[in-house]
Amino acid sequence: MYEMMQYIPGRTFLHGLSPISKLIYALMLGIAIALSYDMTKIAILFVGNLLVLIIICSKDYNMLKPYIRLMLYFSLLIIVFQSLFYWKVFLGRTSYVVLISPEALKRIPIIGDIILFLTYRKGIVFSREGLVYGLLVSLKFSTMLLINLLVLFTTKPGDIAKSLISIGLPGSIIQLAIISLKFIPLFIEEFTITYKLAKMRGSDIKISNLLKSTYMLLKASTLSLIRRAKLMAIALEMKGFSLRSRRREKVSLSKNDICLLILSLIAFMFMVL
Amino acid sequence: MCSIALKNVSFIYMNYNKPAIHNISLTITENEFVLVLGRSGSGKSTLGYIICGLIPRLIPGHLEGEILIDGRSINSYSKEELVKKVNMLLQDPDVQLTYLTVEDEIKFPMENIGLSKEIAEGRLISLLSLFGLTKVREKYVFNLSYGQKQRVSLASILAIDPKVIILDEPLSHQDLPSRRRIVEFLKKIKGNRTIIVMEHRPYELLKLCDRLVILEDGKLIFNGKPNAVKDDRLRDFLFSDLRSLKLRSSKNAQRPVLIVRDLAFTYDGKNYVFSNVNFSLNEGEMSFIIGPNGAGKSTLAMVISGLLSPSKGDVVITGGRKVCYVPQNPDLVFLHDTLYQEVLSSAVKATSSKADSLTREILKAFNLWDLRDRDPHLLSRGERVRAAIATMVALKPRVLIIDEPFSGQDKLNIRAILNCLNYLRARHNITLLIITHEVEIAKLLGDKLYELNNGRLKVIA
Repeated sequence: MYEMMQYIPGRTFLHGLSPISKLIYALMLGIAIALSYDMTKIAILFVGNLLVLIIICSKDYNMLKPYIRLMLYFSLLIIVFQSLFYWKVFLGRTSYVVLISPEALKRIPIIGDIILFLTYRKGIVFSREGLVYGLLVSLKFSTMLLINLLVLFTTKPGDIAKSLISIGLPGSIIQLAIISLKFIPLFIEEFTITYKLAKMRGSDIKISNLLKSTYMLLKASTLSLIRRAKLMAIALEMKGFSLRSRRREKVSLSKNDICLLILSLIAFMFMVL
Repeated sequence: MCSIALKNVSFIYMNYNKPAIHNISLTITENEFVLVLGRSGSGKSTLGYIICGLIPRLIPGHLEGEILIDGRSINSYSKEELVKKVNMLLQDPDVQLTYLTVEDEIKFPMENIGLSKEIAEGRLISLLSLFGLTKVREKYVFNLSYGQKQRVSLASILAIDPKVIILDEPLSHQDLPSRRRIVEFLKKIKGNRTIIVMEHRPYELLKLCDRLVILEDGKLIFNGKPNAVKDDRLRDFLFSDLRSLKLRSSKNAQRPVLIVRDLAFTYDGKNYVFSNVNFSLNEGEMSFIIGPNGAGKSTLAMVISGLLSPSKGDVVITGGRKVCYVPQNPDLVFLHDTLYQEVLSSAVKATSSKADSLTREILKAFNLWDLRDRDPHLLSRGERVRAAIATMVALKPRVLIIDEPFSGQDKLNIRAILNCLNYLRARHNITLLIITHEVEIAKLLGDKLYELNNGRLKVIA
């Protein structure tokens, strides 16, 4: 988990670009993908970005495994969900497979009204429209993930922060956001230990008692983090954090950056128009 | 050059009545190596914060007296000047490290003080090389071993090139090789800058320091050459007399209570943290596991206690009752608003009819009865460790595994914890397995001593 989104050192074309142009590239393509419903165009972007990512990860393809796994799980979930519960039910759906007929559905009280409403007249079906829509959504998600991975794999976190500061975003907030990222794995680890120790003690951690249980568990791990945060404030002061805000680097874009920005614009137009 | 002078300095933290530092006058000359000894709460860290100027700028309270750096009042320095003059390394590198990658962590303070890119890059390369961190330059700091984290912390402080460095308990959470590495490093930089080390374990540093300062309850009780200190002044910091706490083994000590067979564990299915671990513990024994930082001692403890599932092998507990685990961070045990509720909630699970009397007995035995109405999170570190052990003991486990109970503790607290452990053996016949870096204590008091290193567990004694 900690290795996720790790910067990969290298000397590729993308490594040499300014983080600003890469962020603009990711942002423009992200908007274009969100606006587009053309599966062919999105598939072209997907393949293009995947090829670049494969080149960047050529030293160790294992780095890509967790993301491919994530894409597959998520896509499968979206496709199955959309195929079963596609909301345009009243506009007519083409049934691939009727899993449960409307008559059988009426005899299953546990499913309830909402499912009956969604599956009106046709029972629970695996529909063609749902499948296509599921494929489109999962392709959109996977392409956006690939584009963001390209930025993260080829840009050092510190450089991203510096670039955001250089375009005028408040430095202290960007720095604190990065520092807070450090707390996430720590919080998850400590919360898990607290939960397991509570179970070991036979504590009443139950769904019926959810609010109280959550408070008890969160209190332990949160107080532990607050204790650390106080010391971290001292450590930051020792590193001159409060002197930082007055320094801002200038944005400088190379010819390659301009090329990428033009490419982003062309891709944006291609997707939207 | 940099000299420090404190004249009649006192400090009271906000919302406290008792001064943390009381009327201290002290002069530290340029390039001197000063060892500041004192028990937990004696004011060592506070003294460090005062010299750095963190008090009262960041930490509020009432400060009296005069602090001079190079003959100028500390108040006349700008923040930038002060950071470059005096800097401090905190004891926990997890707290000290504020950025994501090793490179960014070391560059961060240099960028903050406005060093040019060229100078910063040059300094980064030399520090990476000095601390053996070149290969992990691009790595995330939370993926490093404990020893590497500490080296990165030191490198990031030295990146500013301060004239005075203050190290707050640099040895207290370290295994033996890491301690040696830090001492070697201090030897290397001694004479080039002023070094102030706050510690409560003096063994390795006594010969190295030019001057010894001892604090007690915020007061300066010794200030002079280390060879001028009387033995009784150092008694509070040496562990040799802890041998008197050793209890005879339980009468049932030959009956095995925990049997571990071919135990192995991996997080990713490929790289084993440890494998082929075989050992057994007898009833009422107190055994220790030592090993370097990051060897997997805590993981082994969590697997034995059932918090993690073993990848291979099994753990057998004879007699039915369970294994309990006290983590290194005692805060993670506490769920309730008072210490009494905390222990009672465990005692109820063990014996519903006598839960009240068991809670009372344990709290008294652990010397925590007077604190029973306090929130356990707000107790001192030593008290929190004892409270966490008491909470788990109330479950009446057959085996209790305690992770680093002595870490960062002074001798008084260690003695208090050891007294509690002896009570557990004598009164409840609980088998104890303790994970520690304190080889000296383990050798003095352990019935069995194991070492976990390179994924293998072997018997040392």
